[in-house]
Amino acid sequence: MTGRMMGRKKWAGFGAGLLALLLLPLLLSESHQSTVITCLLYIYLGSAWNIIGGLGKQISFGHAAFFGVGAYTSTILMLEIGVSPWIGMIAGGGVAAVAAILLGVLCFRFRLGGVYFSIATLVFAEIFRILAINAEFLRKYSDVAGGLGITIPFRSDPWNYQFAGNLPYYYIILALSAGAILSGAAVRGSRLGYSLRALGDSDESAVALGVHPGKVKIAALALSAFLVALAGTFQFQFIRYLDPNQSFSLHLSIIMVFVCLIGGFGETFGVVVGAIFIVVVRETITSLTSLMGGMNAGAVSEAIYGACLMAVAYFFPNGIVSYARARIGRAKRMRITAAGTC
Amino acid sequence: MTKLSLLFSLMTVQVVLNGILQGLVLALLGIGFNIIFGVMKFANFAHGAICVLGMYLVFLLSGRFGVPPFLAGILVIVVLFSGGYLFERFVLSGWMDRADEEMPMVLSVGLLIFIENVVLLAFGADSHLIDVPLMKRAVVLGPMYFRSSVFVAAAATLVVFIFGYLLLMKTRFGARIRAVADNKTGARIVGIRIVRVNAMAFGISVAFAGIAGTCLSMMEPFTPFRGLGLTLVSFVIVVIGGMGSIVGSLLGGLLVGVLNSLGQYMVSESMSLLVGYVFLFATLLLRPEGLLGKGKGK
Amino acid sequence: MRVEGVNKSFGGLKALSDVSFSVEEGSVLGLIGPNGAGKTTLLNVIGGVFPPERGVVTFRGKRISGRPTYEVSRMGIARTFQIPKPFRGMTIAENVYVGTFVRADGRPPAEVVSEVLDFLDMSGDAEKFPKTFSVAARKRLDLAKALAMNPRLLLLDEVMGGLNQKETQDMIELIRKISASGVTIIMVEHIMKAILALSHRIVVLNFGVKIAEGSPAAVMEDQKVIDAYLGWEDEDD
Repeated sequence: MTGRMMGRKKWAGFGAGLLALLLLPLLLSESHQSTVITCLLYIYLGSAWNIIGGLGKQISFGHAAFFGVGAYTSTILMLEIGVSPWIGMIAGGGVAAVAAILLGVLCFRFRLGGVYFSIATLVFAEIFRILAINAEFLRKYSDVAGGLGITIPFRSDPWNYQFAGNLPYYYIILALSAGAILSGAAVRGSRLGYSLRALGDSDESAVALGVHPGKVKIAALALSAFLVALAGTFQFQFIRYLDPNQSFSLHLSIIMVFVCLIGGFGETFGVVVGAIFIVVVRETITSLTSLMGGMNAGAVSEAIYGACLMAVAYFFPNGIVSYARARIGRAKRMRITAAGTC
Repeated sequence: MTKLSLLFSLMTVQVVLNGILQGLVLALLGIGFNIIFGVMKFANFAHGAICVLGMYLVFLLSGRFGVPPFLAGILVIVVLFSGGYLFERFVLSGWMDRADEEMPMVLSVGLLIFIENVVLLAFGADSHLIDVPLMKRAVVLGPMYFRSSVFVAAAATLVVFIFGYLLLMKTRFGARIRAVADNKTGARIVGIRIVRVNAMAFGISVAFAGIAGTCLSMMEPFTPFRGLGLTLVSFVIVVIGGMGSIVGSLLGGLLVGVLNSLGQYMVSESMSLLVGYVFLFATLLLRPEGLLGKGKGK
Repeated sequence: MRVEGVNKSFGGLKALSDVSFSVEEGSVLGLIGPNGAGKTTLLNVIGGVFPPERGVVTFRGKRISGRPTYEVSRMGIARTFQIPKPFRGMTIAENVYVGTFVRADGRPPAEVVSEVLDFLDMSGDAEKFPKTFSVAARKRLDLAKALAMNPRLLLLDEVMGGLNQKETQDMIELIRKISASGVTIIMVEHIMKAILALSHRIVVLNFGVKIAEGSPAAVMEDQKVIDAYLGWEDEDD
C-alpha cells in the first residue's frame, strides 16, 4: 500500500527504458546525441519541478532562478577560488536550497494563496537575472565585447567536470535523470509526498491531521531547488557558456512547467512524455523554419509553446492524467457491461 | 547652496515628477490587474502582454495607417474592451468554474508567451516610440522640460481614474462589481448576474491595460519584451497597494513610478526594476495585505 | 478541557458571546442548539481554525486557543467535518495513513491503518477511492482519519447528519465504543436520539450564548431550552 514506490509493471518499463538509453547514443550522430541530452535534461528538470509544482500544486514560474544559481555558484567558485565544479555543483545546490527556503518562508506564511507564490517566483527569477546582468565582477570572464556571457576554454579534465565529446555528458545526465525519476517516486511515496498531496486535495483536512503546511511546502521547494541547481552546473559544464538571459529566463522556467503539464502534474513518468513532446516540437519547427528561410525559429517555437500551454490548460482543465484516467475508466466499464449483457 | 547642488536637486525633482507621471499610468495598469484579480480571483499573467499589444496596435494604426495617435488609442481601447468582454463571456465563463485552481494561471502565462512572440514576429525586436505630431512642443516649468505628450497621457490617465473611481464607488453598476469581488455566493443570491459582471470586469481590465499601453507608448520606447516586466509591475503595485483597494493601487503605482524613475537616473534601467521587486518581497514580509489592503490573501 | 469566556465575531456578527464550560476527560459532551447558534464556530475555535477575540481554551492544562490547527492536532485533538473532506486522489487506506503522521507511539502505520479500518468495518474498502462513497461512508472515513491520530479528544461535527435509521444506530454504537476506549468526545449534533443516548453532559447554545448546561435529563427539562427548542422546532429536519 504505502511502502510500494511503483508498480511492478512500471519498474519493468523503467528498467527497459534505461537499458535502451544506455545503448542509444552509440547509434546516434553528434548532433542527435545533443538533442537526446537536452531531452534528458528536460526530464530531469521536470522531475525536480514536479516535487513542488506537481505534487505540491504550487506552480512555480521561476524555477530557472535555481538553475542559474547552481550554474553561477559553481562557476564563480571555480573561476575565483579554483574549486572543482563537482564540489561546486553541490555547493550550488546548497545555495539554491537556502534561497528556496527564504522564498518559501516569505510566501508560505499566513497561508497566502498559491497565486502569490506563483508570481513571487517570477519576480524571484527576475531579481537574479538583473543581479547577474549588473554584476561587474563577472565582466572579466566574458569573451564577448561588453557582453554578459561567461565562457571557459575547453580542457579535457574529468576532475574538473570537463570531458571530450558528448558521451560522458550523456551518461552523466542519464544517471541524473534516472535518479531524479527515482527521487520523484520516492518522494511521492514518502510522508512528504502524502502530506503535499493531502494539502492539495483538502488543506483543511490535512491541517486537522497535523500536517504543517508551511514546513511541508518549504521542504518540497528546497528539495526541488537543490535538484534543479545541480542541472545548472551540468549545463554550464556541457556548453561552457553562461548567460543570465538564458540561465534565468522565463523560457526555461516555462519548459519545466510545460513538461509536467503535458505529462500530468505529479506523475512520475509523465515527464518523459512531456520532454519528448517539447523536443519534437522544437526540432520540427527548426527544420520547418530553415526550409522557409529567414523566420525567427526561436520566436515561432515560443509562440507555439504558448499556444500549446493555452490549449492544454483550456482543454484539460483538470489535468491530462485525470482526463486519461476517466476515459480509460469509461472504456473499461463499457467493456464490462458489454460482456455482461450477452 | 551652491549652484551645483541646486542643479542636482532640480534634476531630482524633474526625475521624481517624471516618475509620478509615469506612475499614474502604471497605477492604471495595476488597477486593471486588481479588477480581474478581485472580481474573478484570476491572476492574469498576460496583463502586461495585453498592454504591449495595445502599444503595438497604436503603433500599427498610427504608423502604417496614419491614424492620429490619440484617436488610434481610442480605437484600440474599444477593440480591447470588446475583445476582453467577449473572451470572458464566451471562452472563459464556464471553464473557470470547472478548472483546477492553477489552470487559469497557466493559461494566462501561455497567453503572455504567445502574444509576446506573435508581436515579435510581426513587428520585429526594434524599439519604437510613438510620436505625437500635434504635441512636439515641450512643456516648460521653470528650468525643467517635459514632453507634452507625457503630460497629456498622464492627464488622460487621471481622467480615467476619476471616471473609474466614480463608476466603481458611486454607481449601481460599480456596486455590483464590488459585491461580486467581496462575496460571490452572496452576490449570486441577491440576483446579480455573475457572468455579466465578470465579462464587464474583464473588459474593463483589458481596456485599462490598453489605455496604459497607449500612454506608455508615447512616454518611453517599447519593445515586444516589455510584457513580462509590465505584468510584474502590475503585481508589485497591487501587492504594495493592497489587494482590492483602488486608492492603494494608485499609491502603489506612484511609488513604483518614482522608484523606477529614480532608479533609472541613479543606477541603471534594469536595476530600477530590481528596487520594485525588492519592495514586493519587503511587503510580503512585513505587511502582506499591502498598504491599504483588506484582509489576508487566501 | 476548559473553555472560558470565549468570544468570536465575524465582521458585525457576534457568533460566540462569553461561552464557558468544561469537559471531563473520558466523557462525552453534547453540544446542541439551532442552526447558526455558533456550534461549528466553537468547534473551529477549539480546533484552531481561528482564534477567539476574547477568552481562552485550555486542554489538559495548556492553552490551545490561538494556536494553529496543526499544532492543536499534534497535542491530541482530532476532528471531523460537517461536510466530509476526503483526500480525493488517494485510496481509503492512504487517507487513513495520513492520519498516522502525528502519532508518537512508533507503531508501524500499516498496522494502525488496518486496525482503524477494521474497527470501522471498512477493511473491504481499503483500496477504493472516496469518489465512489456515499455521504455516510465519507463520514466514517473522516472518523477513521481522526482515529488514526490516536487522539485524546475527538470533536465530532454533525457526524449523524444525512444518515438513515440503521446507519445512525451503527454510528451511535461506534461512538460508544470510542468513548469506552478512553477518548474524550465533544459532539455537535441535531439528532436528539444520538445526543441523549451518548452524552454524559450537554451544553446548549442559542445565538452564540450558552443557555443551559448539565445532565441530559436536567437540560431537557430546562424551560429555557424548551422555549428555544419550540422556537427551532421548525428548522429541524
